Amino acid sequence: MSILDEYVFPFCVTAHAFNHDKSQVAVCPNSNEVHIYARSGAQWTAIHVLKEHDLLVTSVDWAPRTNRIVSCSQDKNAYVWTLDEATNVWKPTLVHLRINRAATQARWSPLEDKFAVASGDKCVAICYFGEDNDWWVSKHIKKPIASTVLCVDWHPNNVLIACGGTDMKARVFSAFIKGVDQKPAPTAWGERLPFNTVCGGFESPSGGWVHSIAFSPDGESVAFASHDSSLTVATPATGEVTSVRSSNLPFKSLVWTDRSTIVVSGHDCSPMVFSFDGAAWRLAKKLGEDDKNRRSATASPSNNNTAFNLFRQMDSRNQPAKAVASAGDGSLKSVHQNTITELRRDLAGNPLEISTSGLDGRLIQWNIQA
Amino acid sequence: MAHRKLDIEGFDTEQQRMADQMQYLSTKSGAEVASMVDQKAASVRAAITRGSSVEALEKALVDPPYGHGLDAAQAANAQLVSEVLMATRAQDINAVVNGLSDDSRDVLLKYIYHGLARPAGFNCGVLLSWHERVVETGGLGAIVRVMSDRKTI
Repeated sequence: MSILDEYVFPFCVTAHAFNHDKSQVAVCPNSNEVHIYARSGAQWTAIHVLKEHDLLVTSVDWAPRTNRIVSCSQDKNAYVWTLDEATNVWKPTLVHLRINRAATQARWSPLEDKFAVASGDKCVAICYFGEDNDWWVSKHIKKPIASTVLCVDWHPNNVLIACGGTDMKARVFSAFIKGVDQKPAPTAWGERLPFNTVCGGFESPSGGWVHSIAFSPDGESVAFASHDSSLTVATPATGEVTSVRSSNLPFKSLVWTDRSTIVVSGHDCSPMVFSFDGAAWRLAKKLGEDDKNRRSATASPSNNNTAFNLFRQMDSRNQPAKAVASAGDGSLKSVHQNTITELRRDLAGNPLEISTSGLDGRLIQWNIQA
Repeated sequence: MAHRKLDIEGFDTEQQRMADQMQYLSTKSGAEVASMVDQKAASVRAAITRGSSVEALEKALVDPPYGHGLDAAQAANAQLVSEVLMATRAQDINAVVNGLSDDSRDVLLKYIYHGLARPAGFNCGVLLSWHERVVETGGLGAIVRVMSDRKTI
């Protein structure tokens, strides 16, 4: 059984972020609020509602060690929320983002002293805390991004950042902030990297918006998933850029679980595990689709007898039954019943555990090996 | 968008974007590309008459004329591919599709859609049976690639 936990929220979950020990989760319920739920047994109960944004909240990220939440929204704002222990209320701090279009994604850096906000203003805002004014200030990475940035991911060295967007390119930049960062050790991406240096630019074979991008755990490679249903992995040290054309619908989210395993998810409603066998990246398995035990446990009357349904379909459609994607009652064979919006992994936790949130309201935690 | 008074694209002075997209497009002129297609045609037709459909199809699908303003060459190449598709027997379609490389399969699907959009000039029944086989192998991802690829044939 690869599912560790499953919960259905009464709304579409467009983004989610767990706290350091997975006892609480912040979700975006497809509105201008951020809801925080706490675990109570097998259920999640709502404990906080963070209301400050005016328009749709597009992304939320929870920094595990400093326990701060960053949220960004289509209202061109981002807020950093800190928990006031005394009153048990999350207090927002405004971020001086200076973007003129919607923010699409926000991510804390590994050391949690900076965060990046991708925006439709053709830039990525790198934000750090300015002590003198007691608020978060930003520096923009602009050139040569030509269109909306959809996704960002930080390199483990806290300086490099990868971004992908609607200009169909994935790029790696340096987000070195003088005064906040120490000079990083040279990596395969370059050395002596002032802010906004382009360390690499990649494309997938058929183009398409880059929906998700992530560095490998050691930072040597970057993988991105784009709208042409492909997964591309680029390694600057060897210069190779390999793409896997998948036969599924495009992926919206990806995480590395180790140097040779990537888990993706997207419009096909199941997380899929791709692994590198030394020569090429291949689809290893789809999670959750062979869970026959689970299906029968929550079965509707027509589900109890799939053989009956099989022959009934053969009669009514007058053709031999092929492998149907639905279970006969309109539901999908996969656990999620709609697009998976985000796939997250706890970078400090068990690498085999991932979590997914979907438009069907489900928040599921998986173990990819079971 | 005739009711809109502002041309929002006109405010964007970034010409860089168009230049980037033009990178993959051919630098040859329309006439040169058309003659390339004609040269290909001879060897493709020879392969058809020989009966080796896989070879004929691979040849026809290699180096498609991507770009703007290459209508004559694109139409000629599409007709060439269509000839191969119609010359293949129905029972051989499966084997031919499996024998193609991933790249060629994606290009073939582009031509299938190209033909389906022009029912006057192409045999849609044949195209549909090819479409079924290609999607069996390539999946929905292949169709998404046809739609998202800026390199239009």
